[in-house]
Amino acid sequence: MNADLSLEQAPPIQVPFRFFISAPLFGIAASILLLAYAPTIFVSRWSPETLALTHLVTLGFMGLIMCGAMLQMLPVLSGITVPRVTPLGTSIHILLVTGIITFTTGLLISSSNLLTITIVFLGTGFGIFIMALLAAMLRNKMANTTIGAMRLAVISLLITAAFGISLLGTFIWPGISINPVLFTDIHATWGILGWVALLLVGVAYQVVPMFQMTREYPQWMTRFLLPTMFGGLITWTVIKLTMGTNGAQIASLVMLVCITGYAGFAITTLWLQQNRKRRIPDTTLLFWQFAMLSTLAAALLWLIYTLMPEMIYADRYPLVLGIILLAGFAVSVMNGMLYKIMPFLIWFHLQHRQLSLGLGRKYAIPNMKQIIPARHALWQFYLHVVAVMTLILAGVHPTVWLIYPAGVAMTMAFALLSYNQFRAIQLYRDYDLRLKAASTALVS
Amino acid sequence: MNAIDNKQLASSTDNNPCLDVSQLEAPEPMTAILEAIEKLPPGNFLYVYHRREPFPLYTLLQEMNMKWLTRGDDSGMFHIHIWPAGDSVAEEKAQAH
Repeated sequence: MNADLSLEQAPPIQVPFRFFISAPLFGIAASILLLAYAPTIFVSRWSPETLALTHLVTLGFMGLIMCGAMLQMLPVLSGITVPRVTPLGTSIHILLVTGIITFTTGLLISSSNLLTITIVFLGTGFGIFIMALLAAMLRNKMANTTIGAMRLAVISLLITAAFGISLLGTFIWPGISINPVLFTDIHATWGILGWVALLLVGVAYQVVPMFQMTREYPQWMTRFLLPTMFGGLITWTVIKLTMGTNGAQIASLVMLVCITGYAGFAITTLWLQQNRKRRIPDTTLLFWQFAMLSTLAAALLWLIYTLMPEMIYADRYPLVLGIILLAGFAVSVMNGMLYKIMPFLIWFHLQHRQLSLGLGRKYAIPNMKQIIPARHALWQFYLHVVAVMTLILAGVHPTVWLIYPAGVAMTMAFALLSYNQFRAIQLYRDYDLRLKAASTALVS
Repeated sequence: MNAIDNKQLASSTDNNPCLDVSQLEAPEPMTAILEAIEKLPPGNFLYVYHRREPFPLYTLLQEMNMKWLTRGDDSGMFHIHIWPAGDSVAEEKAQAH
């Protein structure tokens, strides 16, 4: 890259932070729903309250963090900026937040009007996001494995959303004839193994070595894993849609390739982290390790169930697998990454602020470790682990004696994350005001 | 320094300061680079050896009225030359390096 290249400004801090701050609030809402519907919520994965709970986590917590992080990380990791990112980011945030609220409320009170409005809000919100990201990435021809992963992840989001909206259509117009179990399996598989996992793997290639000082991921993995996973998911979907139960064994074989790939990624990540160059204690690292162990547990559970469909607790399998993948894997990585992304952005924007105000670098800006104290993040990690473990137990034995503790731990974990975020933002505001005051004093 | 030859680095950079940030955890590379820029003698460029292309750094360099040139090599590492805008001597040296 050349100095003469004109660089557009990275998104203002408000753009990603709006997404990051809303996310744990939806986590808290999910926890309250769990407590409110404790006696029935884990009985079946199909009940409206279970679907509402799942989507408060997948759309509300995970979806918002991923959208906010992608708008922010694209320029940081690749130099690609999304044009008009501020109005776009604000519109996407408003549409998604409104859509998540109308969707979950519509499910809980069985309102087809709210569910119809949801299609408009979520469809437009994700539509703008997907088009903006794809346009920005296609305009830039830069070859980069993370950009490649982001492209595949956005296409996976498109597939997830298309199947999700079709399923939503069946709630509103019961005449639509689709196989809801098949469509749900495809929707959920593309959501977690496509949109979420492809993006997290692609981002891990950059952020794990960068923040945890590990060696780079092996080149064969960064080159071939994600296209193989994506190809595997496409093949699996085509088999599922065209061959039905006749193709069950072939579909399982294809899925075995995908699961082995993700398990291989989890083992590699754990190995790299175990052999990192600087062994400094780090809460984000703990979140990553917990997430990778959850990935391995999910892969093992899938394998056992595929080989022995009559296994003990077989009827609890889909729910438990969902809990391990969503809470154990996806929420853990995103929660952990927020402890790197948010302090980094605060530190970076304060650095930028003092330079743009003409203060040079004279003013002492808090370092990343001061922005969110390690002790607070660590306590939040412990609460998260307790929440996930009790949720898994509650998934196996859906009794109120397990669901209530799980709900309480989950509420506390998300609430402490929220508190840690607000504390960091308060610190940003304080320093921003101090810098402005110092600049005014300098001028006068 | 493992991926770069110390002797080669020292001799090829002449009197220009050089900085290997390839073993530092983010955002330490950025802090080290900004500190080194403040001490940069006139007529010299700062040479940085990095394991990533530091896109966010460029925004700060623009604010500091600095110019830069980044080259990636076959091993995936990045060589960044930074000098003050308008310092033609430093720019010439950086381009020739």
